[in-house]
Amino acid sequence: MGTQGDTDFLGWVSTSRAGLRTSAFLLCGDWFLADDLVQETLTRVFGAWGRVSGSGDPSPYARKVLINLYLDHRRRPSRRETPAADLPERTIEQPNAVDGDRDRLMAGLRQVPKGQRAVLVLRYWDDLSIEQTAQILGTTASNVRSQASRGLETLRAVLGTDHATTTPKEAL
Amino acid sequence: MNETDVKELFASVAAHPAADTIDMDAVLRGGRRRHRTRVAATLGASAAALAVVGALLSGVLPTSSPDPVGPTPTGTAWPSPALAQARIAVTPNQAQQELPAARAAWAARPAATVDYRLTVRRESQAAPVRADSEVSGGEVTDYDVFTDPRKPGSVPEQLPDDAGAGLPRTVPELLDLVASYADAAGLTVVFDRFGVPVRIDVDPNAGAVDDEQTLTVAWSRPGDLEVPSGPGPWTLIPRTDPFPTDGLRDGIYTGSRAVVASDGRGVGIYLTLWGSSSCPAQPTTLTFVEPSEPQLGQTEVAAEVLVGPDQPDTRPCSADLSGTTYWAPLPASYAAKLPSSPPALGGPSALTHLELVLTGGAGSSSVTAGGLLTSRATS
Repeated sequence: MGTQGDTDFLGWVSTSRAGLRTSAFLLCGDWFLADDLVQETLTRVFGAWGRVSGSGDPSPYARKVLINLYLDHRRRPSRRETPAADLPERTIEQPNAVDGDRDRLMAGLRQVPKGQRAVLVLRYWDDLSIEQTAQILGTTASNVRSQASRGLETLRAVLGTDHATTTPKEAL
Repeated sequence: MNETDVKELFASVAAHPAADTIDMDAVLRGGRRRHRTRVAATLGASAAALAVVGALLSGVLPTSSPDPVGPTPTGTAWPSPALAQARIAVTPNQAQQELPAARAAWAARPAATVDYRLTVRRESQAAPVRADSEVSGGEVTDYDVFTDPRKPGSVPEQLPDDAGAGLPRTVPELLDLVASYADAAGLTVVFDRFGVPVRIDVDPNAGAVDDEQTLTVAWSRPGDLEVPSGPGPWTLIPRTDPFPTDGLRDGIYTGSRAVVASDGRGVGIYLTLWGSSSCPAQPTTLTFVEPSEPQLGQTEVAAEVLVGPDQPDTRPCSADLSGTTYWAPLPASYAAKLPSSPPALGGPSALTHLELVLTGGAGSSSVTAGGLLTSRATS
């Protein structure tokens, strides 16, 4: 990789970084872990930049790496956490209504199984088609439909009925 | 909840991002290192393939296996004709060249195995799955897909059949799958003596990320999957029963693993032998030999285990390199000497070392495998 490759890569990062961070956060629910996932994603994309950039838009490749890292991370112990003998001192934050709402939504999202959550994020945040989602996850379109449907059902169940306005099938 | 609701929900929870902590210098350093590694890996691929051939032909097992009793240890497999007669292809071309012989061997298999049971495990970037099928008269008569948890004692959960999409349900489908990998970037296939591909490691596309997968296959006649316990003190531990696997970190033998533990079964030895799951080797005896003089204040005991053959002449044995685990009680006189965890090395009254010597093997072959174990009691 030469200087031009570096420049191209950094240019692509400047436009993609925020989106990847948000997708990672929606997948894992933790900004620090999201940064870990995105940093490793960017490292892998840069390691294959010559090949990836030559094939057109690097974003699908990056998205696939991110999803794989997320799914893989869920099966491995955290790299960031280290055991400590004593608990750290923490300040007690005063809750407010906005944070409370967000926490409730995040808690609901966390209850969606990881495979379903990956489908929901790819479909409804990254705006990918069913076929594109299936390609990234290495599965079939019918499986994506089914996972999305179940994910919505789970969300509806954990967040209450106030969002239940359409059936999962309609949502797809 | 519809698409808009979900978008709003996502936007809401991600509305206030934390400060960006991504280290771009680390990204660039790591990326360059990965790039160099990839180039080096490409150059070394041929040498690696040759090493795989050499290792497999000399009986050295692959370094990992999706077997639920844990990873296959590196070392010599427990001697088994089923494994010795395996044929290995390490390139897509070699695999295609092996296919006609494999198809012929399968077609000429013993009449008793016309109907068979097949278990295919898939290990990839996705969650591991296991598909069980029963084949009668060439047709699939029963098919189930399960999760494939690694932890012993974990009970697999049944999945919808479509979770096994892409997994072969019959041996001919397995062979067709190998044929479909003619243009794969990398392919290693182990065929057993009946032509069944019992292990397939494939990298379909060199340009794709994390698309590599490993299939391991076990097959047997219907009814052959239940392994009877042999004579002697050893009891077969069903795969779905919990048992410890890491009480003894230094207890990896060649082709076997031993763990001394105290649990619901009592104080005893868990012995796992890797080989053919449908014709596993079975420990038959357990004899303790105490040395005449204690070593450095520690109690060192040798336990001799005779292992029976895996009956290769009477059953179709899969060369699937799976582990089978047995348990035998530790005599009370030794159990009382087990230290609490962690063991107190050098403690005068603690049984700190147990050497397990396995003797036996398939057919006329014989092997003695041994090593020094540090005993540890687990709850």
